Amino acid sequence: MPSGPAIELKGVSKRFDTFVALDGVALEIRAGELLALLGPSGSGKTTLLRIIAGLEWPDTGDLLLGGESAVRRGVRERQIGFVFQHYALFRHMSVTENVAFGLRVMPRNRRPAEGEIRARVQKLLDLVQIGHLGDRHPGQLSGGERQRVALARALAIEPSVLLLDEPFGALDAKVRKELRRWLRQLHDRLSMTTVFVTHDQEEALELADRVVVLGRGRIEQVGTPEEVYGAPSNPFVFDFLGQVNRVRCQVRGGRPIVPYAHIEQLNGDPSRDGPGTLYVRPHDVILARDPAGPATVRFVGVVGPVVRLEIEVVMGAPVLEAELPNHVYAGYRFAAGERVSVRFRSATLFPDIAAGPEELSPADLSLLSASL
Amino acid sequence: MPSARRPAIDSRSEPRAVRWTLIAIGLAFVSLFIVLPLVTVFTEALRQGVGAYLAALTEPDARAAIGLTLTVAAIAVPLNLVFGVVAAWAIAKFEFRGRSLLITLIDLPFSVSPVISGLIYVLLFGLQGWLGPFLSEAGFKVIFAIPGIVLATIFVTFPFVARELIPLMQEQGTDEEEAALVLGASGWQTFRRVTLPNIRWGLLYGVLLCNARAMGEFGAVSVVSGHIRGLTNTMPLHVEILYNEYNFVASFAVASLLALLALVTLTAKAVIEWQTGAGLRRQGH
Repeated sequence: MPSGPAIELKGVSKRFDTFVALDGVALEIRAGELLALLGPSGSGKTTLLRIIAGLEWPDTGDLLLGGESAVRRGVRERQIGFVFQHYALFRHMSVTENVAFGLRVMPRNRRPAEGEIRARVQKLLDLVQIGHLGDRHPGQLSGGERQRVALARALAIEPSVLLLDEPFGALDAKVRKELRRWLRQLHDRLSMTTVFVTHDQEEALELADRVVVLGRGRIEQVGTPEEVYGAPSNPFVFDFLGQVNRVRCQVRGGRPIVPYAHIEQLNGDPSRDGPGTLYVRPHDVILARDPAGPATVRFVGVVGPVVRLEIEVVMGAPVLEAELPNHVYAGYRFAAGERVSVRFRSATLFPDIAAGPEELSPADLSLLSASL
Repeated sequence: MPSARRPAIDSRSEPRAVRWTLIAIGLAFVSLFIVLPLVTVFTEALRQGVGAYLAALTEPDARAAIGLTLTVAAIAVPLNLVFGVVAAWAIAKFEFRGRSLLITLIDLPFSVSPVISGLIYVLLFGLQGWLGPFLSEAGFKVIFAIPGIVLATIFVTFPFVARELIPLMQEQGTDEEEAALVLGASGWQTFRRVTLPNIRWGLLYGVLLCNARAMGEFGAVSVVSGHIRGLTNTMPLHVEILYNEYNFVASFAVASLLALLALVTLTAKAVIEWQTGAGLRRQGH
């Protein structure tokens, strides 16, 4: 079925006692795509994955696998490949036996012959590049190797869908990057519908065809990595994906007023007057040396190829963060204490919902008075 | 940071005198309360030679007592094995209402005097008990018969296997079982291929302890057995009767068998611990 979605969730809700893990989640996962479920802890991403696998049942809603409702099908019958966060390898079995497990427990009429099981296991181990480790036990493997065994074991039952729960969470940074690239290549080779859960935005943006951002049991945004990073549809996604400055402002006459900064490109809807928040990425904060400028450089930090600067605008106001490439910074060489002018290359406006004047913070008031 | 480590080493190594005193106290206690009695059992048993020793063990009443003890253990231990695994499985792998109550109930035989446990069975199944008249009409004799002894033994020994397995299974979690289910294994396949191999050493240890107690139980069995020679006397009861009759050699001869059982259990325990240690090392823990 290359046309229809491989997995479809319709209004799926799930609560544990009083905690709402999922609240009316609707999602279509296309056949053959690599999809990331991204969210902070407690956002329901793992619960969603476990519901697809059949390890958890939704309280309400429906789950369709290949166009058929699967809610009544048990975990055994779904034939889904699942890679657990801590791999859950069978500790008393060799690597070979771990991978062969799914084949050995098949009903007799479907179970391959012993010779074929061996051949298939070896092929899988070669596929995940650990063909020489078949006789080891899980305890004798590194984290990355265990991950590969878990993947080979999941693939052995020829699943229609591959699910991975925080696949790189337990690995150190270098191995993580390596495995990430390798998993992408493997996915392109097998073109199997793959869903993985992560709280690491970099991982989701680099690896996935599409990213689903989850927050508090709801889907906040679905889109390609460019879409969710470049055009977040709400403050939650903005906050969660990448660094962002939140700049309080007043919207008047169709434009937000920030007394100390010039806005070059405004996204969002400025049609309603009232308080609002501008979301500005640090790399969209442009500084220029200006002895009469409204802002002061407080801190300059060189972090490898990028330079991070902290800018204080009004005494007591939240600090702005700016980021620029090292080679660009080399042309300026700002020093702490210097006066600068500020431009926002791009800013996105979200009006405050139901915020009266009594909820304004001292910082807001100082901004207001500065604008008068 | 050698300067930061030195105090740690100093605080761990006590002065030589303190160390030796502590070791000496430990050894003295062990010899006084464990080694000495054990040696006494065997010397008393062999006081009149090997011939008298073997005669005491092969005499019909002794043979009947040994046979009864083996029978009771052969019934009670497998039943408690099944019960222990089921209870530990339920407690360790599932969250359900009444879970903590079940844990408390499993511990009950440890906190109740065995004599009381025996009395409860008398009150339940005895001729004047709740179920007694009904049972005797149906032709069942529970108290002062083998069923009563088996029941009392099961009651006293049922925590051993479950207690051994619950922490082990809790520590292992449910990840591997879930992995097996996702891979298409049935509940039974999951248990046999994943859960059981992971708990096998703990299970064996629990069974050994359960068996040692089942064969050695005195209090509860004494209340329900009725001490009928050659019929309802288990080995510990037989030891007591012989001793009260001043038949010390025979008494200690039978007791030496129980002592041997304890030694075998201890050795097996040591072997198991060595095995699990080796297993853990293999798994890289």
